[in-house]
Amino acid sequence: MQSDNPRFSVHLCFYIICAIGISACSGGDSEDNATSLSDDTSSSETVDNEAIQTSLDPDLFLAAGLAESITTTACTLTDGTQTECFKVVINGAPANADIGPFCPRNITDDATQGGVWFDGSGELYQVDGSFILSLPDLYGSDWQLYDEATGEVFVTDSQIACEAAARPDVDPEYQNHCVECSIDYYDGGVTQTLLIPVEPVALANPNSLSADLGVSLNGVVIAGPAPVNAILSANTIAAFDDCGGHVNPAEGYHYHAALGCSDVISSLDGHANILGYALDGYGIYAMLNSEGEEDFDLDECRGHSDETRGYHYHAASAAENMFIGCFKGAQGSITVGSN
Amino acid sequence: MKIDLTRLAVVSLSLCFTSLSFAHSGHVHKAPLIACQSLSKGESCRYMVGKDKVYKGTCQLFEETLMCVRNQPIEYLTPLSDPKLASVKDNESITLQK
Repeated sequence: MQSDNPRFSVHLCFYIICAIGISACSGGDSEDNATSLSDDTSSSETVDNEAIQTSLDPDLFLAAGLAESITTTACTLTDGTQTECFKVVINGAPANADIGPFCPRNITDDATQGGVWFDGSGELYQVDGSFILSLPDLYGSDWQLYDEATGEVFVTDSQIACEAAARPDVDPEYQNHCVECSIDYYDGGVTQTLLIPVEPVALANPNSLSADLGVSLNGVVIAGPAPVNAILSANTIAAFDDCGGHVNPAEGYHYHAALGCSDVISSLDGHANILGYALDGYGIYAMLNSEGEEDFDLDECRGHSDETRGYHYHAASAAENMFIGCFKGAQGSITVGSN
Repeated sequence: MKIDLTRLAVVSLSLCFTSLSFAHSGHVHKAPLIACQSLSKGESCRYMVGKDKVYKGTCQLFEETLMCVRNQPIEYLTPLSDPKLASVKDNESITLQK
């Protein structure tokens, strides 16, 4: 939905400016569930990339998510390195799951009739009728996403409505809406081509994430954090489905969180399951291992090395609205189409 | 001059109410951003989720916005009697069954 990122930064600037004048009040809401505890201790961790380093394995991808077989081609990475890349062309729809549902239609709907919502707060919400009713308590008294007379939820249920609500300047008509776009508006999926280095090239200093950061094994683009401030500023919820994905007009269906739908290969050694690859060629694995534990030695990008896989990332929880923190290696590219 | 003062008052009140509106419609989702407000990229940060969970990590840039990226396991301020339960709780929080 509104993962078009200009709104994210614009709204953040606005928020920061406003925060100057609202510090006395803002604490009340924040302290209910989350409090900033900033400190100024710097930390960084070096990664041992001289050890064994596994590269992308084309056989791990589900064929139904690909528009064509994975091949290799010459490419230039973000640091100028000219090398060989895997060319991964995806259909734009997950190979192993249906897309949606996103928004419930009535305040009486249960969790099976909607998806989820996360705003980075550490909470994962089921988007059901009760959630729609709770929005004024959650985000403010000016939130009203349903018709009080009928209980009908205001949903962007046409392509015109979806695109008017998904643009950076949300059409005022669609404020206080649960925003969703059907993948049917975009021919069932937006084909995209990713170039991912065959041999990852480690960077001395990590790169910040771009809008999209990789691809899942079931053929879905993995995106950076959803711009929840921009979305919420228009009193809208751009609901995700139970896989953590939603649709926007520019790039179709994409994931903002890991909720297990990409774990198509079970790890045999107790390590977390691999779920996809980042644009720098390093694997992205689930957050927890088979014992339900998280690693203690992740670096700033949420990655680390082991003797079996070399450097790799571990996704954050869905409630944190992100997969990884930064790129540890030089990146290939992602473009719309099958060029 | 009188008109200008009136306008100034109206504008000030508007800004005040706008700010108040944002203050109260604000929510916990800003905690990872607030945690990095006075920090630079790469510096350590932390914030609380609920009343008992501490998230620790470093500030990273996302589309020119600094956000605290957790890179340590979630810390619980109230120790659970059985460490296994903590893992179960984490699993439940991210696994949806419908």
